[in-house]
Amino acid sequence: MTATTPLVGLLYNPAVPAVLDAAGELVDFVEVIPDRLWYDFGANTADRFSHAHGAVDELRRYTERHAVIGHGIGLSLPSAMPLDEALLDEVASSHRCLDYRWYSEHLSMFLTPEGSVPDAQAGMGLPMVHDDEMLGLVGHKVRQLQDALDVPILLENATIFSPIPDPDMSEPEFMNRLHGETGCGMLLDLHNLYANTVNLGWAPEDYLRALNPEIVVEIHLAGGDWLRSHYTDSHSRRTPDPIWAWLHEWGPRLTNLAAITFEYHESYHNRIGLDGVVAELEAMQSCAADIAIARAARLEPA
Amino acid sequence: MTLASFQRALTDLTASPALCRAVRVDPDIALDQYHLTQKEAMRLAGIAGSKGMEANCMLYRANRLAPVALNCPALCDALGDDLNRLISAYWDAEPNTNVHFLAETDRFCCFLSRRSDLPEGVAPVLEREHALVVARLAASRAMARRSAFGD
Repeated sequence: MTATTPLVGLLYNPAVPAVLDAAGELVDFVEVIPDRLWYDFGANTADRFSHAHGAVDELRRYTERHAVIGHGIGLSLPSAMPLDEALLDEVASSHRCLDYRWYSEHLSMFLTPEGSVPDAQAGMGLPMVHDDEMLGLVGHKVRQLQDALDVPILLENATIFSPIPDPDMSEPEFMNRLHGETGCGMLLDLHNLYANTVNLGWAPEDYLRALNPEIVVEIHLAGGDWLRSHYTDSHSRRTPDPIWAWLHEWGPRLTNLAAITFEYHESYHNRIGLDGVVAELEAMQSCAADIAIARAARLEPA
Repeated sequence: MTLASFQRALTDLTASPALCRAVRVDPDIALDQYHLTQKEAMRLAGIAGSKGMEANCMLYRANRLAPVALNCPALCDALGDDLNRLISAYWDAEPNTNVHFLAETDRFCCFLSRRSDLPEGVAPVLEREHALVVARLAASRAMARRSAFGD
C-alpha cells in the first residue's frame, strides 16, 4: 500500500468483530458511532451517560491494530438551537479514549428546536435549508467541533425524500462554501447520492461536477431497500453496481480521498452474509488500489 | 427565530400525516400556529404535498416503534391490531422521543398500564416485559456512574 492509497474500513456494529476475526487483513480502520457507545438519560440528568463498557473495551483493543474514525449522529448541526455541550464533551471523551483520525457528522436535522435536548428528537434525519443563515449556523458549530476535538471535521450528505423547495443554493455549493469558510471536509455518501438520484431524479454527474473534488476525504458505500415506491438508505444489502461504477470513475479525481467505508446494520448481517461483507471489502481494496495507480499516473510527467 | 419555527413545523408534519393532509387542503390555516416567513410557509406547503413525505412519515413511525418492538416483542404480538391505535395515542400524548430505548419503552409501558381499554390477555404480558425493562433500565442507571473511557 502507498501513502496515496485510500484506506478501507467498516462502520462498527456488533457483527463486525466476526468480520475482523475472519478477514481482519482487509480492514484498515473501524468507523465508530460514539452515540452507540452509551445510553443517554437526557439533558440535566445526573450521571447522564451510561457507557456500553463491552463495546468500548473491544474497540480499545482494535485501536492497537486498526485506525479508528469517529462518525457522530447526535449533534444535529443544522438544528436552530445551541450545540448540546454535554454531548460534545462526551464525544470528546470518546475521542481521547479511541483517538479518532477525524470526526464526521450529518447534514441532517435530528433534533427539533423549541424542545428540550435531547428529548426533542425529530425521530429521523430531516432535510435542511441551503441558505446563508444555515451556512452561518452550521459553520459556527463546525468551529466548536474543531476546537473541542482538534481533528479534521467532515460533514455527510443525506438521503432526502422531500427536498426543501426553492433552495438558495445547491447541496454541493453549500458544501463548497462551508469548506471555504471553515476548512471542514466532506464525507461523500455515494449510497445517499444514489438514493437521491432514484427518488428525486438528481443527475449524479451534475452533483459531482458542482462539488469541489478537493473537499472529499471519505466515501460511504451501502445498499438499501424499497419502502413502497421509495428507495431507502437502510444499510441492508451490498453496494449496488452503479455506485461501484461511480467510485471507479470519480475516485481518482477526488485528490484528498483518504478512506472508503462500507456501512451495514447488524440486523442484516445474516442477509448479506460474512462472505458478502468480505467480498465488499475485497472490492473496496481493489478499487482503492486502482485509485492509487490512477493518482500516480496523473502525477507522472508527460 | 423563524428558522426554529420552520424546523418545528417540518418535524410536526413528519410526525403527523393528518397535519400533512390539512396543509395540502389549506396551508394558511394549518400553518397558522407557526411563526413563518412567506417563503418558509410556501416551502412547507410544497413539502407537505411532495411524494417523499409518505416515506418521511413511514420512517418516523418505524423509528419510534423500534425501541418498543426491540424490548417488548411479546407485548407487540399480544396487542396485535390494537398496537397501531395504542401507540398512535401514546405518540399523541408524548410527541418527543426519548433517545434512551429502555426509557422510551418504559414510558410506553407506563402509558399502557394507565389505560382501561387494553385487549384481553395483554395485561400479564405487559407486566412481565415491563418488569424486565425496568430491571434493565435500573442496571443502565447504575452503570452511568462508571466511565468506560478511562477519564
